[in-house]
Amino acid sequence: MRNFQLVFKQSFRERVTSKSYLMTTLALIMISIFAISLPSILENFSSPKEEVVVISNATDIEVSEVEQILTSWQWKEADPNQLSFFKQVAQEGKILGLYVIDENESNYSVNYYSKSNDVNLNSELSMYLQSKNVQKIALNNNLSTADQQSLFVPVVLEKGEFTAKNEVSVFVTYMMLMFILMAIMMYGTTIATGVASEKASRVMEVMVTKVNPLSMIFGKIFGIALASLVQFTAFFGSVALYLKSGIVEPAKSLGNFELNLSALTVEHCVYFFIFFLLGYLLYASLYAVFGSMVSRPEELNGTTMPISILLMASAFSGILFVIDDPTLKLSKFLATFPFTSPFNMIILVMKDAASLLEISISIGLLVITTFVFGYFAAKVYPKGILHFGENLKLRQLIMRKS
Amino acid sequence: MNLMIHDVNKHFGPYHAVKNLSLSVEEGEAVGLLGRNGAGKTTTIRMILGLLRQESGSILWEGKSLSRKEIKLGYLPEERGLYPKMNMLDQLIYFGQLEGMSKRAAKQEGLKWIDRLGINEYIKKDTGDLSKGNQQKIQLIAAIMHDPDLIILDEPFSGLDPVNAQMLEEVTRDLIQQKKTMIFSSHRMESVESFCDRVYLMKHGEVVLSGSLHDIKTKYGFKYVNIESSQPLEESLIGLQTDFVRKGKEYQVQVKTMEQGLYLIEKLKNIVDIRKIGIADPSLNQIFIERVGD
Repeated sequence: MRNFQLVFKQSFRERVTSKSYLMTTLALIMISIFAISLPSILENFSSPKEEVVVISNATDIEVSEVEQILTSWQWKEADPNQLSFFKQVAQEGKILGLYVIDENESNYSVNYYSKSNDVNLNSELSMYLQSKNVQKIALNNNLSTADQQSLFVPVVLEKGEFTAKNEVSVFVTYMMLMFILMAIMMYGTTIATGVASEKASRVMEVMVTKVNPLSMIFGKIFGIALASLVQFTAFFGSVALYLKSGIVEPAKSLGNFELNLSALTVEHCVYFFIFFLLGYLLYASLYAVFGSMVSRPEELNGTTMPISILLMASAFSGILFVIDDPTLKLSKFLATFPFTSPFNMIILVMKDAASLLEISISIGLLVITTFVFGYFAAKVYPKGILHFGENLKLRQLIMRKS
Repeated sequence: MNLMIHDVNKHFGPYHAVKNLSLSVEEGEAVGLLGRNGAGKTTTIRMILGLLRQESGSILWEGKSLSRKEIKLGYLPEERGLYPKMNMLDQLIYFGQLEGMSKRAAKQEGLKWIDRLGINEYIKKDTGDLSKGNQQKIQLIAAIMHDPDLIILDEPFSGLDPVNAQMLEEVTRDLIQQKKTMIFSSHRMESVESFCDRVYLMKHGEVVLSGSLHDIKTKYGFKYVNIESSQPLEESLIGLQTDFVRKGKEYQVQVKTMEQGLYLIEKLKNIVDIRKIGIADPSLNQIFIERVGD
């Protein structure tokens, strides 16, 4: 136990004092803060509104009202006798356009002079005038105010939900899944590289005589796990502090993705932490074994490819199937099967589509599998680390006598 | 405190790496384990260290099955390895603690050895930035700083310059004086000859020669007459029907007995000009080449 603690402390210290760790932590924090602040920053830097001049010959069209409804442009009213002047200004491109609104028997008509011919402006102005016309007809036909308002109530078009309403936004779930994937890959590779480097520098020859393989492998895995949790806390803590500081208004969405974090509960965070940690421990054991199979860290890419494929397949099965419909049998299976469950059960949890029993079974199976693979890793690890020369294959490693 | 290995066997697949190996090392004794690459030395050492399990036979320490938990082992592996980005003192403290020392004791002992081996100036330097010789010194310290009962040194002199080799020899002599039980595996026969009371010579996994150096040399059945002359001796030596080799200026003639050697000297004295001549036992190196060379 003492040697486990020593290896644990050493692995943790080695990891957190490495330049790559500090740079990654800093980069993660900076990128996240930048992403959150981006919409506010863009707003500050966005170009000023373009000017549109209106000559209204229609009695019921007020430019001040147009300004209130069509807010993307800056509106200016002009007299009919200024027509030629503003035509000239529009031709020179100094304003976006000159719009002359007339009124005839059935509807409004617009003559416009613009060099850039803004389709959006034309479409929105046309829609606005159309609605004004409907409003006018309704008024002339003595419709009540309520009926007039009813004419403009839009059709409700809403996507039906398969699960309960208490779900975290898809984007946040997606980000969590990606975080688990990236973290397992990053820290798993760190473990494999650490083992391979110790083999390559032959310090392993000294270590195996001083520490038993069980303490060595798990000291390393848990040491790096703690380093990852520190990074994790530093990352989320900094982002939370930044949001709380109110320096910028956090974005409500990124593109078409909703970024609302309000549905995220402590329970969600605890499950996220459990599945991340268990997933990491399971895959870390495999990374340690695969790291022990090579003689040099440069050879790791090819050797750890099967783990990378398994990880990617597990994460993308969630993106392809489970996020879309967590109620499918396939989704339930993927959320229970130990290698895919860290990625998929978290989706079900975030979408509030898993019962406590299902979550418990998934965690239970993951814990058992982690123990079995941890035991297996501790058994084959010493055979790998004492082998030098040609890379071992997994089958050779398992069959090899100690 | 003695080590006793009795009738040990080990296979790797169809390859019989160690065949019916028996050897013993007494307290305060240094024993040489010799052999070419692939002779089974490292496998034997790994079995003693408990890193490999023997298929048959026994490895005993003081009459009981050797357990790493009950005995303090010091091991300097053939392949050197340290954490390149850790400084010298931190590394020694870490290794010392892994051997059960307190942090304070490990630091104290580490500093003592650093001072003795004259590497104080590099104390805060990362070991990856040190010369091979200095790295080797750190590894030697790591192998002995926890006062082990059994010390196994695998090729301790490789890569050392003469000054450092001399320093290491002094340390080794001290350890022998402190009654440590030691196993030496080396290709540097002169070192083995100067430290070891007994040797085990391995070939293809089995011991082909063992015993005290004196007995081995006596039983070897040959002596060498070494002659240095100002003139070529080939014709004269062929004329005397001798089996000889020329090594630079020196001619080395193999004879079976002291009498034969004296007879040869007498004969040569009359026909050539001799600068230097003498009769010597075979060196361990000569026996090694003779017994394990193809």
